[in-house]
Amino acid sequence: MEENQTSKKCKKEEDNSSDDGGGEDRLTILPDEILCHILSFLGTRCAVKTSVLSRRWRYLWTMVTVLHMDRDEFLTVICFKKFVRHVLKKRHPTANVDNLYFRIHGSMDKLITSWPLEYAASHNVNHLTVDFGNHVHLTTAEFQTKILRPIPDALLTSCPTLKTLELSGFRLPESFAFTTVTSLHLAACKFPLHSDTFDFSARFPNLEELWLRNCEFLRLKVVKISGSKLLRLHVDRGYLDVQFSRCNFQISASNVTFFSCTWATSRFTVINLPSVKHLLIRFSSMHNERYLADIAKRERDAFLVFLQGLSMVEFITMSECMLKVLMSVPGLEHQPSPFSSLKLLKLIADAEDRPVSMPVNVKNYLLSGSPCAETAFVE
Amino acid sequence: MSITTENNEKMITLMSSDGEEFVVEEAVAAQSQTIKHLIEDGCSTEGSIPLPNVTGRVLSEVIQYCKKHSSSDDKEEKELEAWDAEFVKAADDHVALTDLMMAANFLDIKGLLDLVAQTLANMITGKSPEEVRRMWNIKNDFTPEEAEKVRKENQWAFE
Repeated sequence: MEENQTSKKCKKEEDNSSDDGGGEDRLTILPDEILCHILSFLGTRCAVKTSVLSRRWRYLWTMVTVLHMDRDEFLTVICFKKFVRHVLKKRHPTANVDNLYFRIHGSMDKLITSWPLEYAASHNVNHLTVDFGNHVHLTTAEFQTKILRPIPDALLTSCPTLKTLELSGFRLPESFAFTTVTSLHLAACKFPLHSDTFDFSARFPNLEELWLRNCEFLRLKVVKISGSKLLRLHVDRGYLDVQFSRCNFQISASNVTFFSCTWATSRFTVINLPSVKHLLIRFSSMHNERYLADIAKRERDAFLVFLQGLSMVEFITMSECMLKVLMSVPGLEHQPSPFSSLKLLKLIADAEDRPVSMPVNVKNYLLSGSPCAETAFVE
Repeated sequence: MSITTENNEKMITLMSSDGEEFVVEEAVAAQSQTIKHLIEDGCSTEGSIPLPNVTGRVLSEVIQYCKKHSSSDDKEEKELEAWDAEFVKAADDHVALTDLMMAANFLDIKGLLDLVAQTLANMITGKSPEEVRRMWNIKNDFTPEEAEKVRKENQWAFE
């Protein structure tokens, strides 16, 4: 069957090539909108370069709805700035921006950072990714304020079409709300200075997906994550580990099915995620054997409570060190298993040179409530 | 014509521009928004759904793609990506890719449209204008003066 189809295909292609004399520009049969769609998969710089191909291609790039501008594609900041200015000026006046990707690093004047964002906001942007680099490690407050940029007012006040927002290296303002955003990724962002609590459901009431990575919560006492629309949640460890931060996470979302976390579980003072099916949990700073016992002692009670809040989980991927936390729980064998529907437990080895071992009491604790559970080991 | 299989899966018949008939599960065909709307409007209850813009050769490839992507809910994303890569590789050259692109556009299958667009875009990346023209048989219809002007007005993209 397969072979027949293949031979038929070859024959037809030969027919085609003899029909059109082998010299026809096949792409000319494609309408402009499809050619623009192809160009949207190139970076904007590369798309502009197609203007020299032929008359048909001269202005095609001005109607592409994806803008992808990256400082790293240019030798100097001056070239990049010139590029951004020309692109925004020469684009077709009626072309919307469905998707803007904008990346710069190092210090740069305020204008170049706000132009593209203001442009996108006024051209019905749906998906916005802005990467200003990772500066949260800078210690002096002044330097941070200078480098970490605030979100431009244009985005905050008039962007009714925004659905996906990915920000890296921003300072979040004291008061704002993105009511249309359904997917939010924040990396290396700094949270507001003057309040104790940050409530995601108040600022982003329609979130379906939330990623937090390497953010700075130092001044906050409580981060609240809730909402019945939320489906996927990733919380990666903040900058500066637990010992420096007092911030607690209160997570209560009835419809979340995917939860990934790489933070100490003692940070999660409230965990209520009754629908989670997929759980990924790692704790990277526990590789150091010296501190392991101390951390395990501090984390173990919280870890039990944490797992109890995820009773319907079916697939768990966890790092080996989490087993060590469980191992240190006194009387673990008398604890009932928190899970009843577990299907697969995947364990990631901490070290490459030795296999993962799971003590009997830990195995019973994790698996005894789920008759169909299987275990797998990954490197 | 709608038949029901043993698995209670509704089957529908698609007819290509050159008269070839394909019987597929409704769930597979409904990956095409165009076909989905035709089914919703009741066009599949009598006879087959005619697709005047798609040849049998292209349609069989499109159906392969739809089959793979409708049955792979629980499959690893990586496996699907590898399958996609093989699928466009098998399409071989930009002539076949262009046909596939037209079909994906007409049938409104976003995943396939993006896959082929990405593949065609990758073919441009890193090539000189002369190479792109040669590859796609694009005729340079600029006069020397025009060519010079276009190059000048977009000089900032070449710096």
